[in-house]
Amino acid sequence: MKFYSAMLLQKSVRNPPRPGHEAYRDTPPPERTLRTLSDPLLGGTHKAGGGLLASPFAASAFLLAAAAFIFAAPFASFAEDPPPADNASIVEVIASCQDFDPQLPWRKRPPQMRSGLGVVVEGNQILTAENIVRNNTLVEFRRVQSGTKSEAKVLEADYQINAALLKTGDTNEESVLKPLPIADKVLRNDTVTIVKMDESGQFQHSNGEVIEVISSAHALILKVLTDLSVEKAGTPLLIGDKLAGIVIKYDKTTQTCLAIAASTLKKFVDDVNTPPYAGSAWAGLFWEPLLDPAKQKYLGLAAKGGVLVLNTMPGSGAASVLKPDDVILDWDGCQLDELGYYADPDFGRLLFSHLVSGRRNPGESASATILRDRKRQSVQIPLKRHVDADQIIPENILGARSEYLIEGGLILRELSGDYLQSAGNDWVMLMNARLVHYYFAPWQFSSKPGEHVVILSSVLPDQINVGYQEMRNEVVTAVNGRQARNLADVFAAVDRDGGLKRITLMGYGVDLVLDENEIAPANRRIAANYRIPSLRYQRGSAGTK
Amino acid sequence: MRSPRLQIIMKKRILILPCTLAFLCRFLAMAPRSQRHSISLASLLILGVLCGFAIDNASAAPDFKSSIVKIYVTVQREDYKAPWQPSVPVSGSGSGFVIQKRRILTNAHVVSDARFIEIQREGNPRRYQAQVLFIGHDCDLAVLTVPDTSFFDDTKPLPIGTELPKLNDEVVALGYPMGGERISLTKGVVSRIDYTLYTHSGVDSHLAIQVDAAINPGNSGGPILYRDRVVGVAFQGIAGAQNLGYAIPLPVIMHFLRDIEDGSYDGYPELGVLALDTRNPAMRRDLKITDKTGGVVVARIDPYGSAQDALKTGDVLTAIDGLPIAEDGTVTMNDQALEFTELIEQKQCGESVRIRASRNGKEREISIPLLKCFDPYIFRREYNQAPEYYICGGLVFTPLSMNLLAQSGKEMNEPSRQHLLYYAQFAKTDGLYSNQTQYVVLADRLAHRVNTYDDKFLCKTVSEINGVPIKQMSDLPRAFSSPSNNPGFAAASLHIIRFNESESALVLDAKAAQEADREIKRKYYISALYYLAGEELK
Repeated sequence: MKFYSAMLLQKSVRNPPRPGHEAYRDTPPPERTLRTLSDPLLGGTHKAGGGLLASPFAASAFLLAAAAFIFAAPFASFAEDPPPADNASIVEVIASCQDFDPQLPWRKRPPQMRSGLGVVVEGNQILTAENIVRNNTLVEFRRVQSGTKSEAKVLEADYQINAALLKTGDTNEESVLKPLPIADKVLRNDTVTIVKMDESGQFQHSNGEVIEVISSAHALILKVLTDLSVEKAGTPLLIGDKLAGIVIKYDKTTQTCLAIAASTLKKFVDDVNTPPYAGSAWAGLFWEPLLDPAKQKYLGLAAKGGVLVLNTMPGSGAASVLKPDDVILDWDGCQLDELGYYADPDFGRLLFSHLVSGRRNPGESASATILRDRKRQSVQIPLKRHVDADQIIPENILGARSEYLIEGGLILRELSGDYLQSAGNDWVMLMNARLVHYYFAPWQFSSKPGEHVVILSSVLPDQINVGYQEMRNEVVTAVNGRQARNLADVFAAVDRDGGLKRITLMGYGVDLVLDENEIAPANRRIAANYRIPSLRYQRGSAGTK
Repeated sequence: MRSPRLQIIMKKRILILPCTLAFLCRFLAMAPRSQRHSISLASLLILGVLCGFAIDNASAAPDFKSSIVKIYVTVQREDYKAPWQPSVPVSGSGSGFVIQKRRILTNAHVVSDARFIEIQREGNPRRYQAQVLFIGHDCDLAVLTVPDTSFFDDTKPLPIGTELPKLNDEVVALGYPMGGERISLTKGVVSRIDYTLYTHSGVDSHLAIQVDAAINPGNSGGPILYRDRVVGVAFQGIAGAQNLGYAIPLPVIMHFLRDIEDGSYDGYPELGVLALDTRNPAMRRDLKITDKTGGVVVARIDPYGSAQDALKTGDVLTAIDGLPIAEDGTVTMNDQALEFTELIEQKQCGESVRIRASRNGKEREISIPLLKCFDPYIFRREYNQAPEYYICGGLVFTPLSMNLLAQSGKEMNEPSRQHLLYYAQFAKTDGLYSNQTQYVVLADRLAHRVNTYDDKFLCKTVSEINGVPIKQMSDLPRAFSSPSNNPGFAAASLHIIRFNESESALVLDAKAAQEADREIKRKYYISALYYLAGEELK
């Protein structure tokens, strides 16, 4: 079966490439294609392949050549009219960022510079793409044709939407900025103007056509065809004198860019300005189109229409209500076709994920009619905000500092997506097959919310751990004889017993034992030897030794 | 922990093993310092220059010339993706040599999957048809014979050595490598004697001699001589490496020859324990080991191994056949430190091994009979066997095998197949084996209207069909013979196929599937809709 377009979005929006030198890089991080759960509203046995994200960004020299071509191109040309937006409405956002080392969480990687564009919105706030300011140590912006850089503060950055809202502290600069209103809606076939900033800080304009409006898990996305090569994330799309969207991806081969649509941006900005920030709503289900006539027959479906529930995520609203093999016939009063689309009054044909993230907020609930055991029934599905850390195996797309504990040189932590993927492009084959398997099929490890996979990731060699030093990526089932369902259990056991005395590994009939009298001196020795500033990091706890 | 890519030396057919092989280390028969061979994808280097200094006169060893033979084979591999038809036949050649009793010793990989074998002696234009008498895939050795006994006239069996050469001893490699038609002789020294992965099976590690004599494709099966006696059989090299060839050494050759003396090849017995070293003093105290040194601790027992009833996890093994086991798992023999498992390597199935083990501080000496190993989870590469398959509604079911994984090659990097790697490595470790003896995989879909929407189930493993648990391929005919009734639509009977990796079932209209199969058989040129081991090909 072919993937449908929203699947591409899932890839681009949920797992934006880890920014490297450029605003975003050409090679996105490995994608969890099978594990549909992480974006549960987008069903997912489809292969999320596709070229949209694959292309590298052109070097600046190439851009000049590309610009020359634009004149001959069918439907984009430099706008002859003066730019619809004032120069003071679009700024360059420059961030210095530092990610944590996914392997050794007490280390930080070398700082990098990332830049993109931002749009000034009401209240002189600057709207930009989240991945530009991720893990920042300093965020600055500069106006076009101005060398002055002013510091900005991140009010909110939401990686699910891939949007961030900044606020400048510089009152002088602020007085010059001109907010741009956000459009109410942008539709398919609308023509938008893409505004890009070149090397010298000059604007270039070109028209683009919205060829598709796509509902991804957390945002409404515009797919725009354009001849202008777009290198910077955050590049604005304008419709009239209003903001139509901000670009998060560009693909050179198809000459399309993906942009967060105005309606999502508006919702985001409003949300940030009415604290507390709520984020986007999420149901936590996993579905697929219901196309197979034999399967329809099996489920007792008389007519076409409705999608099949494959699974739900532990702890989600859907988990308490829906079961595998339920057929969702309608959602919030909208009838779903067999591909999961409904007729949206504003945007036309959309995937029903928009009914969740676009039209609902966390804390509300959605109503649905389902077919279960051949009977129609109405259900209410509570909606929440999807919290990555609640997953059995979190993705940690943000590259946040992982919790860890080093005792007697044994490095204990919880398994996460970024840890596995740090092994490189072939991580699926290179990493321990059991850990990768749990990552793709976490329900085979546990379906209890709050449980995580505790691993012994590696051992820092020291005389106390002689004999254990080749242990790597083993699953820890118990610590000091107590079950280790997550790292909190490990912290608790170690704190109670005054150290890590014994750990039990999955598949081993004997425990690894440490000399309890030697642990404290060994910890000091290891910290000094390997120059580890802290042997433990526990979130929300001041007790980091 | 990457090891270089090992490459089987056989002329014209450079067998490149997909990287997946490498991941399947034989978990349960290894000592703590076990090698996990992980062969990197990147090192797909083909041997570049032909043999360095091939000498076309065998005057150095005139007696041997008539006994070193060239083996011409036509091989037809099975196609594990289209299991109803073998792949295109290919021809190649290897080397071999005459041993006692009118036999010829060569590598198993030279004659595996062979459809036709001919043997030629140096200086004799005639090619003689040959037969395989015994083949050991785990040690990559085979014994052939030529029914026309005139072949052996004027041949002199090569004498087999009695002791292994030492490092720096000069050895001679003879054979018919690429680069010419006549016999070639290369010289070198023994560079290393160590345990190495035998790539032919992909999972077995045995002792191997590493020599710096040029060993190239076509050398496979040729003898390595030390003081005019056979001490090894050339068998594999490392792509991209220089002056680095491997030979199967004397102990492995003798193990094979002794094994076949009774008329059948049983292979190596497995003790079936994963032992951890006990170097850590805290662990020693915990295990109540009173001695200052020595002993390894059993961390896992292979359910298919010989030690299953005799040992338990937590047992400390302190001696094997009277030799003390050091805390790192080695025993000292002839001033050499060997892994204690090497002693088991030297034994035949049916023999036994004496183990001194202590449990909770109490020591006892036990004799463990070494059994012939029937382990469905070894995932050794298979040869000379038609692959099992079953087709229903155009859906092709095959067992999970090393061959299937190997043929998938780089595709194994796809998340949708990753669970197969996991099962292949961890089925026993994680206790999954108790449910079944084979993993039945939906390997392919022969496109037809009846299965249009079933691609999403590809590569998943079957747990149940029509309520019948699927524990091996032979369960399929029975499971498909009773389609499930459909309560809502009485007229339709359906096949309901459930998978381990999906909550959602695959549903096939039983009648439509049966009709479709007739059409699929014709259109896709499928001779039979199934082949199950132990049955005649249909």
